[in-house]
Amino acid sequence: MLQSQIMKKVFTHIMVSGLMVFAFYSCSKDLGNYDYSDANVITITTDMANVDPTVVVNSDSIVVKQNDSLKVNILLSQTKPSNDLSYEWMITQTAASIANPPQYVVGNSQQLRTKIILLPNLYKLVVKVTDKTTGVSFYKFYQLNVDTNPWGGEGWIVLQDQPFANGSDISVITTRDGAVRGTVYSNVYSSANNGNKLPVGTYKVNVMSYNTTLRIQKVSFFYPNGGLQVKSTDFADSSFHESWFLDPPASYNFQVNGQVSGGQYEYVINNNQLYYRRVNAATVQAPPIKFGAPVLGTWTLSPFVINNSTSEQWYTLYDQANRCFVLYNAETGALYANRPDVANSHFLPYSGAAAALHPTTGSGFDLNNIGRNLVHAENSQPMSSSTTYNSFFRNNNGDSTWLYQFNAALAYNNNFTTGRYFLSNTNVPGINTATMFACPTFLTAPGKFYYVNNNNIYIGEVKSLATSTATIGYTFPAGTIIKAMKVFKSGYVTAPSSEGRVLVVATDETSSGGGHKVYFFNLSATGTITSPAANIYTGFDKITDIVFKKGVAF
Amino acid sequence: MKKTNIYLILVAFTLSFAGCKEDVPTLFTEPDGIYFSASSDSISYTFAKYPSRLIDTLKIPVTVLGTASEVDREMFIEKGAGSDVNATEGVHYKLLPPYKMPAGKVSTTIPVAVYRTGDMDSITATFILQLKANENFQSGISTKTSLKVKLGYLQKPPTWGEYTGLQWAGYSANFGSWTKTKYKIILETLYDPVSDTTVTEFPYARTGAPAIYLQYAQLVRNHLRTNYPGNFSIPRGIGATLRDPDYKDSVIQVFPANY
Repeated sequence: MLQSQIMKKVFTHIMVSGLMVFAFYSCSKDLGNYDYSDANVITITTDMANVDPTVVVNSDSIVVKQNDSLKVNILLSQTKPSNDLSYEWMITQTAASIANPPQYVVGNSQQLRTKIILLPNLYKLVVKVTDKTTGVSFYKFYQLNVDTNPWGGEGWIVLQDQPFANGSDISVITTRDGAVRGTVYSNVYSSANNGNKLPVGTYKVNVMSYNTTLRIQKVSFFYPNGGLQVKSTDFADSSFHESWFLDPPASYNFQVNGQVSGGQYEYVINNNQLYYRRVNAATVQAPPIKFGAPVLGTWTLSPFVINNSTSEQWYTLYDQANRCFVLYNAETGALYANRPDVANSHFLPYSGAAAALHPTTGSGFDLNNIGRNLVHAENSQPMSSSTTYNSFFRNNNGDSTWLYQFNAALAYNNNFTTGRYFLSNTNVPGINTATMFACPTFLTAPGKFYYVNNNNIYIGEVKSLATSTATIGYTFPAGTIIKAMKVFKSGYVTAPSSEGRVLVVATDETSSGGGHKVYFFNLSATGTITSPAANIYTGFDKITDIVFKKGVAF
Repeated sequence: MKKTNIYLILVAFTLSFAGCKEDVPTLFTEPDGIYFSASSDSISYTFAKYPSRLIDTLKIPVTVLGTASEVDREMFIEKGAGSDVNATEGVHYKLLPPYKMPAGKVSTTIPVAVYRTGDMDSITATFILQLKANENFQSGISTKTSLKVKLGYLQKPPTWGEYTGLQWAGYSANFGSWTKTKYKIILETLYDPVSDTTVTEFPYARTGAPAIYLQYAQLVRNHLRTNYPGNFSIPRGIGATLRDPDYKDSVIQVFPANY
């Protein structure tokens, strides 16, 4: 009995003490376990022995062509080997200001096997390896350069009429200046557009190279009653004229488009009216970027725009109805010096010496009263802050031709006493019926120019008053129709050594059995045409236009 | 002693379970409240945005401070008083009772008809909506039981940029100084019949003026040139001419602006 009472007391005390301990301990803070151990550290390297060395060029750099497959093998070393790993391959942007590409996560296994469908550009390829036992991830980054197919890079685009296919198409010659013989890739447009051809009668191709940092370039085509743009790397359709305008014009008759290479003011002249839009780092973030309403005025514009590289928004235009120049600022909508829009009065009255305007003994000109028809305008010096342009004029009868030479500017005092040259048909044979002009950019002004008459290319040498002369620079086989002639003007920020020194000519020599060809002529230091041609490309369909496309981002 | 031990055991036993019990706040009940759930204490509406409209219906958001009900509950809203109230009920606006909070909902919008009147060319018509307590709702958040509504038409938008040095549609060299007549022609030109709206403001963005503003300015210039050739003729006034009574009866030119 005593033992029983003692047991009860002991039990009671133990119980009370125990419960009290539990009562307080139950609310005590969990201080955790602070015994740390090193996690598994994974080192990722490229398995260079099992990749295509032309693609994975080194352990950190990959170059792959658009639409090609990509295979990358990696090797892992672990400090605490684990088999419980996960993998994620991602393609990201190269700068925070650029959005991630649409093709983002491209693989979830150790070895990457994917197809790159991204637009050509620079990207980052990232592989993330996660040890699932610890949740710790390790990364390796690659520079991923998605390249174009050969025809998507630098080269000459040759637009051709293909009546047998009820349309038009392009070839690309992968050369810039003929120094290195390129490859000709044919039917590039239809290959990229499910076999569809460009519309019948497509008459003009041009390349728009925007600011190099944007890495944006477009190729445009004009055809009767419309136009379209394609991507510059694969020539797939990008947009049609219906979507280009904020306020669509009543009809479409595109005559010329362009912009300073690397600039932001893109213009188009439609039905002799100017439209423009700004493509820059700000506007590309808020597409669509539309051409605005036409710049209406007293003018009816010739299809030429004269501007320079540093203030490209100042357009020097020619009013073919009133035969006078107009200087328009696309940024403010203002004419030069805020002058009122009065035909033949867009500049201050001519203030040079009156004698300079004498038709035969003077060399000056009045921007307000040219009185002739502009047939061609082109820069005859490299694009700069005051680019020199050649403007060729003819009278109504087509029996007299002049060259006016002046620098594109933001302001004109309208006091030119030099720059006007009469191109006498006697000394400059065939100039009055010349069908094409081209101007090199490496000769000292007033320099030389090239023009086409029948199957000849003439070299005109500019001299004062009416003393300019010309000689035949090259003669194609009899019956040859010269379809296009352009001096190589690359648009590169750093001009190549051949800049302005190569003449590219497209011909129709079917009458002599030669078919359709593209010639690359080197120009000598004095501007003569070096014969024979540096390169001749054959096998084209009927050529309608040619244009050089520079590599994007250079 | 025996009893004391038993009590101790019971207390300790209870504590061991109750010691960590979460402290649940006590519940209280009160009638549902109601308040205007606009983002601020006033809202503005301009007929400038809809130049083809002479009447419109505002949808004023109202929210219950409480729970949803199984039946529709009527809300009582009346016009309020204030020193800046100058709108007249029945002329500038009209309340459209009965207003009800639908069953099962804790928020809704109430319609208020507003009218474009001639005096809105020069004034902002202001009225106040006041929520009143009734058998369904007591007043909710006190600062949100009234809402000021400002109606306008031809008022200078606050983002009209006349700041020099940067170009956007309101910049002095583009649209120039704001006047009613000029603003009206801008609204008319930029009117989009598909969306039944026009462009009323031209705010400057952090990254610069949107490029489209220059195109707006060109559109208005073309509209003036086409419809009022006298505004650009030399001398002025040959053909139809639009003059501005708010600015020396001058012809109106934009992009660049002449005043």
